[in-house]
Amino acid sequence: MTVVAAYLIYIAWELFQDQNAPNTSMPPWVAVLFAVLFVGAAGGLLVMAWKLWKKGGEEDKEEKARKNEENSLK
Amino acid sequence: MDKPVVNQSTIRKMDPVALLKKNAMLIILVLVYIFFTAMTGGRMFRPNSFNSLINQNAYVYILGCGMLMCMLTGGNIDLSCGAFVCLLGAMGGMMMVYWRMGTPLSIIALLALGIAYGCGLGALIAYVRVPPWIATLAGYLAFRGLGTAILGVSSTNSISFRDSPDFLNMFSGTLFKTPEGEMNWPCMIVGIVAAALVVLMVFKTRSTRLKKGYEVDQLAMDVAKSVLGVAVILLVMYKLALSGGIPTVLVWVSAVVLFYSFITSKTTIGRHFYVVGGNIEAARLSGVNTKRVMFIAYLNMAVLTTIAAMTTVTRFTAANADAGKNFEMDAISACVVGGVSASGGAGTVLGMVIGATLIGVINLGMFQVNLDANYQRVVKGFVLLAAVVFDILSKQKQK
Repeated sequence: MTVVAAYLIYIAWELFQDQNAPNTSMPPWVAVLFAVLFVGAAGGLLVMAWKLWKKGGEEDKEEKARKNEENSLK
Repeated sequence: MDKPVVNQSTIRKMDPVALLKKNAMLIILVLVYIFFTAMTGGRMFRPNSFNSLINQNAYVYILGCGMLMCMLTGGNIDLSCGAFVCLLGAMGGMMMVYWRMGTPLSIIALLALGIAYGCGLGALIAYVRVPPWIATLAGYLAFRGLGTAILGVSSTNSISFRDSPDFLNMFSGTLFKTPEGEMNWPCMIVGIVAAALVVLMVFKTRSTRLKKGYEVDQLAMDVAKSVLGVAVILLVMYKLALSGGIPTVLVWVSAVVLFYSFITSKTTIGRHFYVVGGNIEAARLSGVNTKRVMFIAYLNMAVLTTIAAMTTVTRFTAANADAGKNFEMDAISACVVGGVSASGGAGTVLGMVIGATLIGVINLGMFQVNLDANYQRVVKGFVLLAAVVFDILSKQKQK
């Protein structure tokens, strides 16, 4: 997800750079709109990736706590 | 010979919705192809379009196989493959053109370089536990600079391979070449043999599964799969036969794709990749050497990058500083669009091939309708985003 988000940000950056290029038929405001859309989508993906990573970390902690409890009972 | 035992319980009932979901990317590929064929007034259906599709996307299929193996291990990727292609092209140019090492020795040296890099990268990721994206980001940043510095020996910052016809013919050009428009019969014969093999494989697999009492699809499904496979192969080979013959690079792509298809579906080491990606701790406790699997994934990627580099430089007949630009993103996109899970443990070579073909068709179609470069970027972005969202929603529904 992080890599796809980074690629979307890269596309947004390219669109923003080329918005006033002479050989493009895309109006500048459309280029900026799409760039903002892609940055927003990338942000959403990064937030999802961070939540998944955090959830994975919490599950690891619970697993460790359970194992420690089992070991202490033995 | 014993007749296969058929019980009602071994025949899988056909669920139209599940069938549509399973083959969604294939259906989308067909629809997109029809769309662009209509938009271009039939130009997408011409023989030279098929030729262009294969030649322009050969590197995606080759790198896609390597990226698939990396992503299977847990969503890991290789960001350095594009820059490594540039470096290998530069090194190949130096060896063949400036040092006059000869084609066979240069190819062996390039493969040795690829293996050395793969071993180093694999060791760093598997044994030193450096996160793959960091380890490969270093390569992404360093290799292009190194390649450009090497190419600086030439005033044009590129090295031409025109004086190495052996090397060029090995990875580019056409087998059994005939003039365009004239039917190339060796190409058609290869197509007919390939189509026959596909039918044989489908029914042999069915027969084996029935004998062992495994679940199989309905006969109509297997017949439909065979007919579709035969139709696609014969259509592609017919178009290639009219465009001058089999592109040499198609032989390399087919060999790589078939090899990895076999590895991922029929071998123990292939299954280990899925198991590591599915649950690395469970894999380790089951006796799978997870570190070795990670090491092999990145060594394998480096070797495939070497092959992709050779097909790329021979296609352009020169090594230049822009070679390999965005290759890693194309390979990742092919895998993601083809249904390879971004978190690992799921995905097939066939899915990656369909994903790569879809992206190739979209790129070629946009080029043929002369779509503005900015609109092309927007389309690519939306295709990738749609594929990732589809993957996330599928996982959530499974849970």
